[in-house]
Amino acid sequence: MSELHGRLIWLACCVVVLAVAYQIRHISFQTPSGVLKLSVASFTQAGANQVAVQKTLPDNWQWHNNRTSHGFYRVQFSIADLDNSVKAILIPTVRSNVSVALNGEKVGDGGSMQPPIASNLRKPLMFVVPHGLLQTGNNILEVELKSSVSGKGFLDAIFVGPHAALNPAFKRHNFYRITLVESITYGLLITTLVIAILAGLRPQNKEYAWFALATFLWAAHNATNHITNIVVSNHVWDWFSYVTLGWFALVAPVVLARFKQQIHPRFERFLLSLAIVLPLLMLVLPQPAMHAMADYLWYPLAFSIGGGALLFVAIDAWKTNDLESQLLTASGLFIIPYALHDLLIVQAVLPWEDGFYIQFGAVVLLAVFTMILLYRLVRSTNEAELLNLNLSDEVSKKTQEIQAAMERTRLLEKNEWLSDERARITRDMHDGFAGQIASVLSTLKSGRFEAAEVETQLEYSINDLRLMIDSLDNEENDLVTLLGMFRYRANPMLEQAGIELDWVSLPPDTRIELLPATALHLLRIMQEALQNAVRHANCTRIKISATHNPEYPDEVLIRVQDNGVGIATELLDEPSKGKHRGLRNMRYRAEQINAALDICSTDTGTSLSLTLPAERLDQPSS
Amino acid sequence: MRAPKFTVAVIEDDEAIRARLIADINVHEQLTVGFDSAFLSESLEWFNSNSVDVLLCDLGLPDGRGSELIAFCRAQYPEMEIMVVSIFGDEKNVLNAIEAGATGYLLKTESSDRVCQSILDLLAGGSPISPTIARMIIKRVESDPRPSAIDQADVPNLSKRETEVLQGLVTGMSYQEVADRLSIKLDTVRTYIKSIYQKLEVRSRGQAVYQASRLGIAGLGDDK
Repeated sequence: MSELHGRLIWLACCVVVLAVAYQIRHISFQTPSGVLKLSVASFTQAGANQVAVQKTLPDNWQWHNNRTSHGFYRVQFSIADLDNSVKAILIPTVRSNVSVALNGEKVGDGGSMQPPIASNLRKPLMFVVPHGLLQTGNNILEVELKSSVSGKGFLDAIFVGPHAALNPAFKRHNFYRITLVESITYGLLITTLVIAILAGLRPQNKEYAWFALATFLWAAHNATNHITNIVVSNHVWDWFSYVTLGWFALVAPVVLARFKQQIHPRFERFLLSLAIVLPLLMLVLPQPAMHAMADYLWYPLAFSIGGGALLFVAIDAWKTNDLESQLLTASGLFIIPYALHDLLIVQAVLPWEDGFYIQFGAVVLLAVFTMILLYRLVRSTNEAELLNLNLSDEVSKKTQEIQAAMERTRLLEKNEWLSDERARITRDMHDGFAGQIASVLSTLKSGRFEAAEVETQLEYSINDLRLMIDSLDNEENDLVTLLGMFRYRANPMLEQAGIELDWVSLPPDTRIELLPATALHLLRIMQEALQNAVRHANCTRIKISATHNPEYPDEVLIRVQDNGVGIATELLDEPSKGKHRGLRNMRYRAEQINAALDICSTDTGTSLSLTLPAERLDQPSS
Repeated sequence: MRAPKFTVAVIEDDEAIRARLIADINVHEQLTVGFDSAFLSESLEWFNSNSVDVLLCDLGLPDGRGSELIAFCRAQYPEMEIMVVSIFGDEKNVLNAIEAGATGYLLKTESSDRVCQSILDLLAGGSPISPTIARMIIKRVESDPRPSAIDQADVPNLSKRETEVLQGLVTGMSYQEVADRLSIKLDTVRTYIKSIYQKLEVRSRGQAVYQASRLGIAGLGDDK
């Protein structure tokens, strides 16, 4: 419903536009009152032996198939009572130029009568009659007419009367035909400049450049309507006038299409070839042929294409109900009747003295175009601003989201790691500490026990618990500190047993970090080795050393050596068979942390070597 | 003539441990318990007008933090030796206690004779430092450079020698081994450790003042 409304409004607008366009007739020449209108003349073609013929003014040479470009009009008129006021002669329209003489005295001309002949296509001509030249009674007015195009001369009716009576009509006519068109030309040139700057600033928007070209062509064509004194030959000037208007009609479809974000390369190439070939042809053709070609081929073709493009936009406007298209077609409608009107004038169907309207036709279209382009620019600037605002909002929002997601991931990972660690610690506590305490408890319950044995067992359990805590709480599980703590904890036990300890550790600045699980395995292996030495080896000296493997700097070599009685060979070979679960545990733990365990025992002592990969100790194979 | 007895205060909320510590200490001929309590408030009140040679203080008391009592006693009685009663693996809290003014620490699980030995060691000027604590001290001083707003003397950094002593202790060396390695006397090592303790305490106080002045607490940061 609302779409139909839109279309109806658009159609109404079009009708209004046509109605307004029709009002252009009011700018035609208005005959002043109180003056003499001369419309009967005898015409003599230039050249020898030409016979004078009677003509009625306005006289268009096209109407009587006169092939000449030079002729003389002679008008006789009489004035009964001459007053003292200043008199003038007014000719609203000529083609191309006239020289006027009254009673044998020249009163003026419309510019150069020699090639290039002044081009008074639109310009009304008024000559003030020198005092005393006009006489009471009979007067003879001689008008020499020169046309830049042979066979296309035109002389309007001639008005003679007081200057005061003629001047308003002349001024009005001059305003509509020259001043207004001149202003439009300047306006279009400024528009061209602005749009061209925009096009330079936004080279990606080609429609700006095309539009600038269109406005420039229109301005150039307009200029040919009001510039009288030309500097090039009439031929080139006329060619320029034809070509600029035709080019405009050919550029218009490109502008419209690109304006609708459509690019038709093949069509554009076709238009380009037309725009080059036909004007070139016109330029080389002799003068009459050029004019014929412009009137009967160039203009009709170019305007058909331009009008067709407008029709396409009109169809689009109807289909899509798009406001921009509707505005463009409505404003473009001005061109159609004016172009048709002017085409009919050129072809002498309509009277020449009507004058051309086309120069007004595109003004509304171009103005609407400019407004839409500027509006688009403002809109996109606003959108960009809004987008920028939203973007910074978006970015900070996204940053927060990502941070939150990362925090969640980190928490999940931490939770997972924590639950893994919790499971490991629980398992450790259950297998180690709890089992040991339970075993002590059952020994106590049995009633048969020795206090020293229970004490030893409990001490063992506490030591194991300490190892667990050290493996967990040590700052960053630094290997050096871990070993330091081991020695620190071992001191009381060794002192009590009266065993001398030779302690060699890694340099303090060694940076090797272990996972808690790895640390605990390592500490338990060392604890087991130390306890074995203290309890079973019957030794007096123990040496514990931690060094970098001289052959492989990425390995740490940990040694526990005693000077005791050694371990029985069968225990070493098959540790699982004996009561010594300790040895088997050590091997298992060494495996868990990818370390090589080597136990070498003689009757003069035992040496345990543990080789740890020091670069990556943190991932024991499971 | 018998050696003079040193008085000890035992502040510990675990009845069994307190009882054992009191028993162990009283048995020793050079030591005697002068005050014992399970509560911070009670202890603060007592120390308002009384003093001992050695304070044994647990950190987690039912009505407050032991470090508050440590800081109070350190301010009141600069000569007092203060030991944190700690469980093993609680080095972070021990370090905090040292920063509050403690000069040593004692593990709750220590055997009876070692309890007294540790106290006497401390009285003789030997503060203990475990490898973990040594490493924590190094890290703390490194990662926490002296705030420029505080007068240099207020927040001392560790000397090169002191750092070397700590590095030796990190690897598990005994004081004697550290002394041998650095070619200094055992007593000098003890002096260094004592001074490390003091510097930590002073540093933490300086830091607190610095923080307070940064937070704009009036008067604290001013010299007036």
